[in-house]
Amino acid sequence: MKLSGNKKIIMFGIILLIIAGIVVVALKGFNVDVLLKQHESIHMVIGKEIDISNIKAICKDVFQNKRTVIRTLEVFDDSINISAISITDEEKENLVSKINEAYGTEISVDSITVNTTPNIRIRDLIRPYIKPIIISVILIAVYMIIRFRKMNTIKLLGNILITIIVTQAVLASIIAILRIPLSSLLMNIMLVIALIELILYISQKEKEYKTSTEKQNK
Amino acid sequence: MEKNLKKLKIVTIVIFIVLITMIAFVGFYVRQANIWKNVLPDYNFGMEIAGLRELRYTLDSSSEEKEVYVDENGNIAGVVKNDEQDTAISLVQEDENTEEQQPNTEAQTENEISGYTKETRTIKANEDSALTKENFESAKKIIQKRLESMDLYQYNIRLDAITGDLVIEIPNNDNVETIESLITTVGKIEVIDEQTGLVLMRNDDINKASVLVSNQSGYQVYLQLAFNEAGKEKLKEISNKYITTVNDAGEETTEYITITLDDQTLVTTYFGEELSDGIIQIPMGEATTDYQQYTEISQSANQIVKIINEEKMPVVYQLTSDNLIKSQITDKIMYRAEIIFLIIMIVISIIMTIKYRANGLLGAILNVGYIALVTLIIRYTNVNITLNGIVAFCIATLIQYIFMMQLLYELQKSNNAKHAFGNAMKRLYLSIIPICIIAIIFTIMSSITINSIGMILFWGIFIQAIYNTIVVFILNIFEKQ
Repeated sequence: MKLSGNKKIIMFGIILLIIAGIVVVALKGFNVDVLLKQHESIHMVIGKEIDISNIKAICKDVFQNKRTVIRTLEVFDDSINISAISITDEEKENLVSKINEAYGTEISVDSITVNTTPNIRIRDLIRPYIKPIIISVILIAVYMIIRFRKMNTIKLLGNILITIIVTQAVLASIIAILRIPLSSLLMNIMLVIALIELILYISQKEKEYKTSTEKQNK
Repeated sequence: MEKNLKKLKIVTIVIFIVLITMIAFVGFYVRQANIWKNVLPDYNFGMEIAGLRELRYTLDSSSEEKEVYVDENGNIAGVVKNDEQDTAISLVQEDENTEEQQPNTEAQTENEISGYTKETRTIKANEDSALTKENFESAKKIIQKRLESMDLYQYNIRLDAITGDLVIEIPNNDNVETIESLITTVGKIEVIDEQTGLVLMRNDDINKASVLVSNQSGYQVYLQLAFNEAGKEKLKEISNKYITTVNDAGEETTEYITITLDDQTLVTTYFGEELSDGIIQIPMGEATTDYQQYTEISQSANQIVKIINEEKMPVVYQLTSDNLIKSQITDKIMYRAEIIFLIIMIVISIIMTIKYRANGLLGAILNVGYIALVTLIIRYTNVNITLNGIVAFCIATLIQYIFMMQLLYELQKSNNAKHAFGNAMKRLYLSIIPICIIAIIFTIMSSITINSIGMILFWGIFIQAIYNTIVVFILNIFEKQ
């Protein structure tokens, strides 16, 4: 297969990007979302209605560059759960004092415990997808073989498979290099992109198939 | 005349769409007891949006010194019953002379302990040898199976493989207490000699547990235990031994067995006849004619059955905390997302109107009607809406917009609106067959994340086909261009 100048550059860029992605994953792994990773969290009962943006500002001040997730607890929105990869004693003290200051509470540092929450295994997240994706891929392949039987179906399936794999590898590399937090939603968006690719490919092949059938009829 | 009829159709459809949209996004309010109440079912959000219950478990570290029977291999074969221990018995068949029904503890102890030595041992809830990574992993798998046997397919199990600590995240619903106990229940079932405390049969002897219901005098739920070959023999032997006997002086002596689940007594009874079929039925609660009570007993029995039929938990957990944690996707974030969605819709509608004029405006209105219909169907079919489901909803909406653009394009090319509709449908569906396949396959999956994608895509595509066929093809409302 001969490639034109521009295509060569694009192909070279893609290969470089994938290699860079592999290196980043091998050295640092993916940047998994805080809530998926093993993290530490603090539950605090403030007893007053909480303004999340205010708590966010306090957390930014206390935890600096550490990514934190703030969620309200129970039904009255007067308690919070703050999660971060790690919470040091100093950070805990600082957080409690700033919250006491902001909300006029008298929460003691000793009454607050830091809980460690184990990670969710990525394989546990992926597990439910495996069976339906395998079944769907088989059925879609069967459909394509039947629908485009007059075309070179092996080449057709091979092409779409390579296209999807390359796109997914490029996306995964970008996610790894840019340290985008990997979450269930992000994996689903990758799946949607693969689906859109497949549909565009089928749509294009439909056009080619229609043209070739019309030519044959003439 | 034909033009007037078409105008009438268009006006009717627009009014219908406005109505449907109002109902879908504002609600349908009915006055009930002087209060205006929205009678539309609520959306069923998944735990990433509605919030979750975080159950924290640690390994049970309790221990107790007990006098136990030890067999020749050094294994514990039961806890010795001492005199102070409460030996009160809940009889299955009550007798008039209850005094004579009390087990003859002293006499039995002498007979039953042959072959065993008595030792005082520290019984730990979790023996040190059980605290292994393999057992923690095995416990996690058993919990997964137990949750799924309760049709709970939306959960996260976080296991600390070093300490064995567990954090389980489940949706906040009425079953939380049942789930909490499901995890702390080991599933250890024992048939014990009530007089001595010696264990006669264990989980290894059971082949299968099931629930039976008799409706002779009210509904009586039974837990049926079917034993394996070794268990059958033991049961036969036990059923001949634990009976009421009458001595020469005419005095009745009854020997009892107790069936326990995790050391909690299910029943204490004796046998009236030899059981050679290896099946024993344990009455669960009293016979009742109250349906709610019957349902509760039946659910509890079914839960016990599931636990017995699964593997026994290799380690014992205790609940340390239970918190309701709301989603990080707050109402504010949802509101912002809705505004963005609305802006995108408005921009596309403006583009459609500019490009295809009256037909474009009509198409844009039809798209709004489609979105309203899908949201209503999602409410009524009780589809679980997860974040992935929202992505699926966006795909379904995108399909409708692509179809409408294609239709408007075909209408520009063709003089026949029905022909244009046929062409647009054909092109769209030949391209989205993979999505249709995924929608069907994902719909039949039990995992909520997967099912949510499948169900929303399925309803989205199904309504897209029906809605457009009725409005565009049958009512034929578009103008020829």
